[in-house]
Amino acid sequence: MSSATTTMGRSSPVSLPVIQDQPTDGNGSPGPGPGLPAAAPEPSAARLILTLGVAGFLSGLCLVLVYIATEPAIERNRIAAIEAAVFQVLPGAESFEVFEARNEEVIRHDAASGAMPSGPSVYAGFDADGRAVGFAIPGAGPGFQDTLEILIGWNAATRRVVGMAVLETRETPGLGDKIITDERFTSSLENLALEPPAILVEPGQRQADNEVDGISGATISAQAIVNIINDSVGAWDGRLPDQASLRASTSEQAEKQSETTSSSQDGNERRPAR
Amino acid sequence: MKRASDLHDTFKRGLWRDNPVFIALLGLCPALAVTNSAINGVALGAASTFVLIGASFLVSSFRGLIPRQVRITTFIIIIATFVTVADLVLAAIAPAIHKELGAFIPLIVCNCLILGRQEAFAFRKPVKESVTDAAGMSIGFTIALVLIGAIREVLGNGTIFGLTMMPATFEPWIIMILPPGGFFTIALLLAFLAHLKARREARAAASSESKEVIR
Repeated sequence: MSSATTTMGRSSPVSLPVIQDQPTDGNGSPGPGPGLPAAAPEPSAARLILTLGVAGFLSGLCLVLVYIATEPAIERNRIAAIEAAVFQVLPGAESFEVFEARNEEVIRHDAASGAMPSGPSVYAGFDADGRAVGFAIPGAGPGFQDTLEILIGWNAATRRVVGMAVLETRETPGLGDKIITDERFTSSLENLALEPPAILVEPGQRQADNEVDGISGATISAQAIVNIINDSVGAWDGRLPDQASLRASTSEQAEKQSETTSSSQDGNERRPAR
Repeated sequence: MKRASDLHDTFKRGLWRDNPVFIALLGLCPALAVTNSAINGVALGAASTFVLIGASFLVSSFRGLIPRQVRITTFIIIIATFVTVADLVLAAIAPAIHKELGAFIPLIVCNCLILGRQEAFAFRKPVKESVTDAAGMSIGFTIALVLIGAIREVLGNGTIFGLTMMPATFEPWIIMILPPGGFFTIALLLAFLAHLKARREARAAASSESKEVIR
C-alpha cells in the first residue's frame, strides 16, 4: 500500500486518485500514508454523524445565503427575457400586461394581488397611447430534438402573425437553429395569415399570405414552428378580448371600466425608458 | 528555496505535464459536450476553477477533522456546495451563458477531475500546496476547454469568441460544432501532442547519446 501513497506527490505521472479499501474495522486498515492526517483508532459512529451533520448544516447555510443574494438578479433576468421577447414579437408595443385564461374566458391578470397567473396566460401589448397592438401568445411543440418553446406575436385586429421569438430550443446548432437566424423564414412570420392554416413552402417560394418560406437544412424545425403557430393561435383566438376596444389599465378608458382603480399601476409593466 | 520550486512544480504539473484533459484524460464529458464555442469553454473552465480551488482549500484546511471513513461524502458535500453557488451566481450575472451551459454546471459535481484532486492531493497536503495544485489543474483544464472550443468554433462557425475569423466564402463545417466534432478535435489534439512528445523524446535520446546539452 505504501507504494501507492508515497509515490503520490511527485513521481507518479498522473496522481490519479488511489482507490483504497475502506477499513470496516480497525484491523486490516492500510493506515494513513505519509501525507495523511494521523487517523484516530476508530472514530465512533457519533463522530461520523457529527462530521456529516456539521458539513451539511454549513453547506445549507451557505446555499441559503447565496440564494437570497442572487435571487433578485435571477428574477430580474427572467423578467427581462420575457419583456425582450414580448417587445420583439409585438412591433409598436410600449408596455404589456398579463392576461390569463379562466373558465373559457381570458381576463386581465391582477398583478397587484401578487399572485401568479393561475391558468395559461398571454401578454397583451399596448402602444404609447394605451391602445392594444396585439397579443404575445406562448406556444410549445415537438421540434427536431426537444420541445420548442416560442412566443408568437398575434395582431387580432388584422388577423396576422406579426412576429415570433424562440424562447427554448435544443435544435441542432448550425442547422435547426436557423429558425432564429434565417431572415427569409423569420420575415415571412412578420405578416402571416392563418386562414387557411399556414403552410411551409420551398425556400423563396412564398406567394400567399399564409405561406412560410422554408429553410434548407432545417425543414423539420421550420415545420415545427409553423405547426406550433397554427395550434397555439388557434387555441387562443376565439377567447381573446376584443383588441379594438382593449386599453392598457393605466389609460383613462380602462380606469372607467375597471371597478378597482387601485390595482392599475402595478399591473402595467412599462418598457424601461431608453 | 526548495519549497518555492516545489510549489512552482506543483502548479506547472497541472498546466501541462499532467494536463487533466490532454494527459490524464479526466473530465472528458464536459470537455466534449460544451466546447462548441470558445466562450463556453471559458465559462465552464471558470466555474470548474472556482469549484476546484474552493473545494481543495476547504478539504485541505479541515483534513485533520474529517474522519477517513466519511471523507468522500464530505468531499461531495463541499464540492456540491461550491457548484450550486457557481450555478446561482452564473444565473444571476450571465444568464445567456448559464442557459447555454445548461445541465453541465450542476454536472461539475461529478467531474472526476475535482473529486480526484481532493482524494489524491488536498486530503494529504497542506493548504498552500493544495490550492496551488488546484489552480494549476483547473487552469490546465480551462486552457484545454478553450483550445478545443476555439478550434471547433472557427471551423464549425467561422468565428472565435463570436468574432468572424474566416472569409465570407468559408462554408462552416457544421459537423465540428455537433457532438462528433468534439471527438474529432480531442482525438486530433491528443495525436498531435503524442507526436510532439515522441519527437521530443527521440531528440532527447539522440542528444544524450552525443553528449549534448539536453534542452
